[in-house]
Amino acid sequence: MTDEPAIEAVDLGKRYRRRHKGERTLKSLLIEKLVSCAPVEEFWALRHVEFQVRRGATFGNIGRNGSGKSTQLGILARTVTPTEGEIRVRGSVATLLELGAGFHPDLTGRENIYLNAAILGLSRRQTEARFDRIVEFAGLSEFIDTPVKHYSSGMYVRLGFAVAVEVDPDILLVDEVLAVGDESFQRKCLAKIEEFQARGKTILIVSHALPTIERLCTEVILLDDGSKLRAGAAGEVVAEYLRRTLGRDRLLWVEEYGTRRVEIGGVCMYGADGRPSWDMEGARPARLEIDYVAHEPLDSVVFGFMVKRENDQIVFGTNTQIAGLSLPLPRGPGRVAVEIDPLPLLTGKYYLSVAVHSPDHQIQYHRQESWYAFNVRNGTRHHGEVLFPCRWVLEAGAAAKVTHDS
Amino acid sequence: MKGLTFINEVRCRRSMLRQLVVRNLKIRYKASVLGFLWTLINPVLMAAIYGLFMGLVARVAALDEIFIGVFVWQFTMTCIGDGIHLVLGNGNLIRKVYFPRMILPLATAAANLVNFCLMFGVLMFILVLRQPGVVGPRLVQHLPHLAGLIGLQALLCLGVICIVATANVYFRDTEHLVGIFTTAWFFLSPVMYPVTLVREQWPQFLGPYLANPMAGLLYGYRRALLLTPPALCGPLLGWWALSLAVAAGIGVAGVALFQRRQREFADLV
Repeated sequence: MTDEPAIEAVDLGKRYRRRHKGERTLKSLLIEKLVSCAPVEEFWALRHVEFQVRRGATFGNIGRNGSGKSTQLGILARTVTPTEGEIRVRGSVATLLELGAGFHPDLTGRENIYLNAAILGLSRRQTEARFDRIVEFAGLSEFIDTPVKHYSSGMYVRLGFAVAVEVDPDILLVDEVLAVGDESFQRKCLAKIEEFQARGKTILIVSHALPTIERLCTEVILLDDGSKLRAGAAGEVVAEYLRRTLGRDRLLWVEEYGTRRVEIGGVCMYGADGRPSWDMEGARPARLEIDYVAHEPLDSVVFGFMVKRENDQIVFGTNTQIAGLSLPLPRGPGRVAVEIDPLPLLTGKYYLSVAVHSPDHQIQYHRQESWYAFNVRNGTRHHGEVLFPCRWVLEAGAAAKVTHDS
Repeated sequence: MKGLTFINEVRCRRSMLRQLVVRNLKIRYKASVLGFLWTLINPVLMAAIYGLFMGLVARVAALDEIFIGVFVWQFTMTCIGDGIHLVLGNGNLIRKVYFPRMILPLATAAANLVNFCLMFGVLMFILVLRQPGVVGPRLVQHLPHLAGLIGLQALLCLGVICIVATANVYFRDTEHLVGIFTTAWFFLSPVMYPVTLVREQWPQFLGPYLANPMAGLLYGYRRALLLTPPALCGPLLGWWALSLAVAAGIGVAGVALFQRRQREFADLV
């Protein structure tokens, strides 16, 4: 029983009929019947999607707007009926409603708690037992008898979140709600979700907030135009998503090209602890490894890497030629590594390009432009993106000389 | 009986049903300063206006008949008004949360039923004031009769709510059509005139006229409550029974329609 996945989707598909113009009215129906043309277009919001969510896993669901995320969530919540395929959900499901849907503005916080809990499936007695915890978690005890129309949007969300988590389902569906509310409440939400995780509950999150997804999820599915593009470990899938969206939005030049006489196989970064990761720690040692395969022997090649920000601005770039190295390459696989100590970056998101090309730059064997995304976390409180190795010197008079390392 | 599983589902979620009924009533009474009073003032004023014109000016109906007509008609009308936006107005909920959809029309019908029962009390009060010592014993005598009529009208209202709510999902101009339809229905029902008016003017159409469920219900209420009820006899009683059957039939048909279509609502709202 416990080995069975909590959610299992088999060849899931959902077809919608989209009308070309306007809403459907009886008038338009009559006109269409009279001129005997019904411009109805069918499209698949979701097709051939398969995935499994293990019991106790936190599963992320990412993709551009219109990629089918919401449809998939609707099917899981049983509000949307799939056109084909099947979904098996084992356990009770509750949805975290966006901005307190199901709240009524004229009712007080107290009345809305009872209403919302009943909508999500709690009986009155169950709600009574949880009422104090809900109010406390939402931090709204002073305003609980105020009509919610006087609430700020943050208070709305807090109340909605508090009710949903107290419903205590086996499977919690979270749709984009974590992005709202102030920072302290966001922390509370994340803590609550982590508590859910610790208790072995299954969570499915749909979000555009990629750092949240990366932090919370063990597995992520990437949807695009209604089909599964990729599913797997959170870091990899998020990187794939960034690659695609950034390329599409032309904010950042994201491209892979080259003759492939030398081919880049895998690129990996290692933190100070020696473990591969896309979350690096600033001011600590880092290591970049590039695995390649040379399909024919070459006299001389240049390996390079570059780090950019999302506006395509270069932070740093170098290559083996600048370093004065001449690399003849025999046929076969190999690896080059770059030691960076310390990594002089401040907190932020960075994009890594790697390339192997001829010494005269005329032939690109394989270039992956901004192909990899990595995060840097820097515990210092400096501003900007580059860490200067600086120290303050205070010369009070001529006598005392105080130095202080940053 | 696969089609009836929703009854059991609704039973499991009766706390939601109860909360929605409470919500509907609270909102109605909280929305304005006068609260509940407004829902009373409205039919009383309407009855006064109709009474003035139809009773005193046109002299086709007694004031008591009009009071009964307006209060009873109001029940059906508020249900239609609430029903139109029932599914579309709760679109967010329908897209996001699973629950037996039938709860929505049930809650609306139930809230309006509660409201009608309160208004019915006021109607009784008015009638007692106008005919002291007469209505009381009649009321006791006809209580089961009246309860049956109210129940039947509630079923009719549930069906009508289901029909207009479903129609509005598929045809967004339903509201305009419903406006025209209810106006026609109003004049085709004996709200501000007695059934006897039709009997006198167009006796040949009286049978089909009575098949209108609101005509049947209004005749029933008046027969139970008025001192000098408009009497029907013979085959006309058969038509009257038919109209009550039509009321129940619309109720069941509306529920069936809603239940058949509700799976598509989340795609369309």
